[in-house]
Amino acid sequence: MLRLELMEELKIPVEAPKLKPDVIVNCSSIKDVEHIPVHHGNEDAYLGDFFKVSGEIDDSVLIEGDLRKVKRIGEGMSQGSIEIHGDVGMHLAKDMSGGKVFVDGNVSDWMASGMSGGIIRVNGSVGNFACASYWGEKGGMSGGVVFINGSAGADLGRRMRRGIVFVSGSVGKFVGVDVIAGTIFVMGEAAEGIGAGMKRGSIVLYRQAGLLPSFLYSGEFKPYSMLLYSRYLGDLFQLELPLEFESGYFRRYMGDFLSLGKGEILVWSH
Amino acid sequence: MNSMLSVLEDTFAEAFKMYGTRLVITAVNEQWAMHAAKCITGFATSVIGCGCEAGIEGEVERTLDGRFGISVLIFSMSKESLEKQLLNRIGQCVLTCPTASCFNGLDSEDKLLVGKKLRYFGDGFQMSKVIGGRRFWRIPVMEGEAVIEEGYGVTESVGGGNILILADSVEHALYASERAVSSAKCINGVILPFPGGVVRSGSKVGSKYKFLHASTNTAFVPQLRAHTSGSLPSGVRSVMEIVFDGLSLVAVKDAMRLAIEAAAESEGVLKISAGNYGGNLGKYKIYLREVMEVGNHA
Repeated sequence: MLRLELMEELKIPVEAPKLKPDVIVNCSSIKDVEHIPVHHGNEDAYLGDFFKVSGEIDDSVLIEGDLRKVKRIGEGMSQGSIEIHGDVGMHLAKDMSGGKVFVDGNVSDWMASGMSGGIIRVNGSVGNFACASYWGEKGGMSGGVVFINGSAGADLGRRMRRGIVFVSGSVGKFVGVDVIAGTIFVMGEAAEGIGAGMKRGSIVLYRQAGLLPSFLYSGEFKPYSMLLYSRYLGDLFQLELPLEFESGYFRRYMGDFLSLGKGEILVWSH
Repeated sequence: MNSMLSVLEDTFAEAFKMYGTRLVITAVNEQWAMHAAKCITGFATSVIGCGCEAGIEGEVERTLDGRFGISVLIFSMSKESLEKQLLNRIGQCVLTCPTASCFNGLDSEDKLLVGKKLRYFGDGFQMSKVIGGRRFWRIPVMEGEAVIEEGYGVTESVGGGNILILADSVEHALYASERAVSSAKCINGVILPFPGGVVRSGSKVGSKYKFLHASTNTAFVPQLRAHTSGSLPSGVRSVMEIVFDGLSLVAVKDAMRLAIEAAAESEGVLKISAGNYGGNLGKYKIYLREVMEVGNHA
């Protein structure tokens, strides 16, 4: 495993889109890794200017330090793993298509935007627009699995069209806005605007929340598919859903009727 | 081994190329999973009369949804006919069965997208979910929700492996067959599609009637000795056949070996033979002695 340690606190942001296993596995020496280009503010720089690099080169990377001003780590990654110990900056795992990212800390905005595959686990909270499409872009997250073991900000999963997002804490406003398909779980509180404009897809809530009037109550039932999620996420993240949740009844609200109206908000029925 | 060789006829079973799949059926408990499994494998003894051959393979230890699961194998002569059978059988036997879900149990690139067609039962209210790279259909039904996987793996398989147990009485033939079935069922990837795994009415190709393609296997019918070439040893008063369908030739051979071992040790068994058509029809010739030798060397 390759180890990167931030040498000193950053005042100006560093953008490191090439800090990913796809690039690192092609490096033949530690020196090559240190020469991976980054942007420091409006200047070109190298990874080695900010990080102490050690360990063996393979497809797994450990990054340590206060990375709040380091952006775009793992951008477009398709293989290997990145493990981050510490808080990390914006655009983490943007356009990720494969591999694994593990963060033991908090993540800033725009995490996993445009994600199409791979697995992310955050032991902490994430900012706004996680798993969301960028402004002006038609499609959001189109695959992969994200587990946020904390809370998420606003616009989580905006315009999502496939994939699974699980949040163990609460979420900000407009979770799942304009969703086309995919599934978002929220075990904590969800702020207003849930699923606004959604066409299809599922938002699963453990607690009742205030819903938009364009969502209509559609009955109570037992979705066996919840068992599939429970086993799958359990295996992937050693996550245990409450038994009554995975095999219980759910109130179903369909909407958004201002859009196609075939989306669903499932609320666990106490 | 020597005593076994003495009852083992030096002949071969003629088996055919088929296409097979494995389904895993889960439900709220064993009872309902078994209702669906029995239903989907019902009337599926011979591809000639039933369109497919099917059977229950066994209990599944770990299922996708964590509920009680049973795996079933279904075989047919072509991928097209197998798809048709799956469509009908999953549609009529699993979709209809309370609390039951149906999942693919065969890892294969080649898939029959049966769930893709069954989803239309949802009349536009069905929902697709991709979990772990596999697509499932949530079909709304009166009970609540039916979960059916979209694709089912299909693989070239072997059908029609068989042994014939020649015994001195019906009771001994049946007892030996029961032992053979019980042993053969230990092999994964194999089913014995006939009632209790045993056929009493083995057939030969053709008949004296133009409209009939298969008729009773006269050479092994004990009371027709006067009209046949006399291949049945004296003292044989009853013959039972066990047919093996498997996802691989190795699995079929393993099952046959266990079945022969169990039957040969049974009281009253005078000979163990196999059904073939002179080697002209089937792709596979499974020589009984070769099967036993492989088993002995293993």
